[in-house]
Amino acid sequence: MFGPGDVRFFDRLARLYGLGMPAADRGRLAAGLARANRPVERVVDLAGGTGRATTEIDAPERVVLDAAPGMLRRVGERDGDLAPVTGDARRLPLADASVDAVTLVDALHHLPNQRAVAEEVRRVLRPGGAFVVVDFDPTHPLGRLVVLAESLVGFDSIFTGPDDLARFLSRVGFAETTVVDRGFAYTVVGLKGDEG
Amino acid sequence: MKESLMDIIVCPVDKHDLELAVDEEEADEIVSGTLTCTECGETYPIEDGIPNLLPPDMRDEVEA
Repeated sequence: MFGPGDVRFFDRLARLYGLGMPAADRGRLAAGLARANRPVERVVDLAGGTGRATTEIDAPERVVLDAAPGMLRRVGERDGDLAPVTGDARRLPLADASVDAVTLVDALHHLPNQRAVAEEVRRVLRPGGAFVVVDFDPTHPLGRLVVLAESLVGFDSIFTGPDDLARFLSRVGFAETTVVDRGFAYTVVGLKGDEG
Repeated sequence: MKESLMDIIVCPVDKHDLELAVDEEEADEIVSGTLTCTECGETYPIEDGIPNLLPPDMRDEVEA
């Protein structure tokens, strides 16, 4: 267990939360994307900001979608192969069954109306496509600290644990949901069924 | 944006196809232009190479 006097604790928190969160690392995202029941060629990174996590995705076509144009202007400096699009996750400007996977990394808790987001993601996924969500577990000791930190800085965050999120995605209509890994940051994958 | 993006982007309001009008192009990148919904006629700007496909009611509040 970590305590406030433990340097490793803050070091780890800073690394995970502030600077470059390993939750967004290539391995974690690859493990989530590997659950898709189809080749993953086109991926949309929702609420992708400056494209920090998007660059870690191994796919030929990668779109970064965010509601903040200021963040997206920095995407090009990071990686010229990423395609930035300004848009709202609740009303996606994407065609039905047009993408193989959608990622949502460290952002679910920032989105109002998670149901609308999940329904839109399901609409734009092709059959067998994967919705990969990486977020902080509010029931994990370190996760509780993130919840506290975000409430202190005034974010209106809504955190969901991995099992609740998996159940929620099933209710929204995802054919198969899996908790791929657990911990301070968790990964949940929802698959769109083959029948669409 | 690259023109290939037209394969997947639609109007966020009614999900119909968009028509592309290019103002400025560099190599294979569309730097500025306008996307118009073929159904409702709503227009969406492309600025600094980025299509702004926020629904009209959100476009003004998040402009940054």
